[in-house]
Amino acid sequence: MAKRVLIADDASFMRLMLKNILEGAGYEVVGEAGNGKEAIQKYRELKPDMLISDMVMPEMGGIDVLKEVLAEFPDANVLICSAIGQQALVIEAIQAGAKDYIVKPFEQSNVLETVAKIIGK
Amino acid sequence: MTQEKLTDFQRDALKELGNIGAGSAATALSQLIGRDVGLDVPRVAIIPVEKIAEKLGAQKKIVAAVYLRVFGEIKARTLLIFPQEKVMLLLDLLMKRELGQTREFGETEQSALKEVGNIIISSYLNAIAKFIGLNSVPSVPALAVDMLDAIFETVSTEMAEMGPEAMLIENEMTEEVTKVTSTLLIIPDKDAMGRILKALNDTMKGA
Repeated sequence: MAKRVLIADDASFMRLMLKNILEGAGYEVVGEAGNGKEAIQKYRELKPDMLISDMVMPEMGGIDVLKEVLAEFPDANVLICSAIGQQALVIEAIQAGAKDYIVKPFEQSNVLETVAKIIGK
Repeated sequence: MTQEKLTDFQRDALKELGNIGAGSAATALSQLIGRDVGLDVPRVAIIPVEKIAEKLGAQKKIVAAVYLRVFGEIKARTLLIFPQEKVMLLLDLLMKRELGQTREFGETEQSALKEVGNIIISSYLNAIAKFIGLNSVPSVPALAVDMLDAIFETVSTEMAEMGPEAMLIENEMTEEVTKVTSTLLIIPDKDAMGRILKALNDTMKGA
């Protein structure tokens, strides 16, 4: 059975890009969220194998989404995907419980390797 | 400090910061497009805020502009401006379409352009953090397609919070026969310019 992924990013362009990469590799994108609050609602509803979340989003940022999802679902796999690549912020995300951090723009192979490392193929 | 005139040395240091950011942003844009692109050396200028509109020229020209606030150790306002005729070409490249195919400015196109703004500004911020150790994050991007003076008038309403100098970076990217020009304006807030100059000074002393 295909692994199920939820994508949260305020940019529909970026959601589409990630969706194409993941679906092309056999993952199932079960939902998309355009802001942080929606990401949490959809996570509760869909219980995906992985949440890929942007950092800067309306309503609620990626770090808060990460913390809230992990508080409710301690085993959640959250991958942060953001244009912000500053070391201090990457460390903050990892310390808050993110499984990994991808800096935009990304290589397709990097996304797939990272996702496979966390939830398998 | 921020109300004082910048020295030539400080201007040079800021220009260098602009160059470093531009290099990082160019690489990011090239990766996003997924094609080899030629990138000219950016033209970086430090200009007084009140001269921005004059410097940008062609006030009645329609442009697409992505606006982002910057928060953290550097607070600033940033505006990434594309001439209207070049935006469609950039969107062709981003959406992997044949040149000239993009004719509408729909939701996906607007989203793509906002994301370009986000990635370019973030590349600058990432490079600045690495170079002088000041961490900052951008806001959610906003997009406007309007006359240049109308867009700048909106930004000018926040003039009171802005510092006296802005960084103007002009880029030209070439992909085979396509040339995409853009102008990036970074306007640090009043206290931010002093903080940037101090960090630049400390970095140079430490080098």
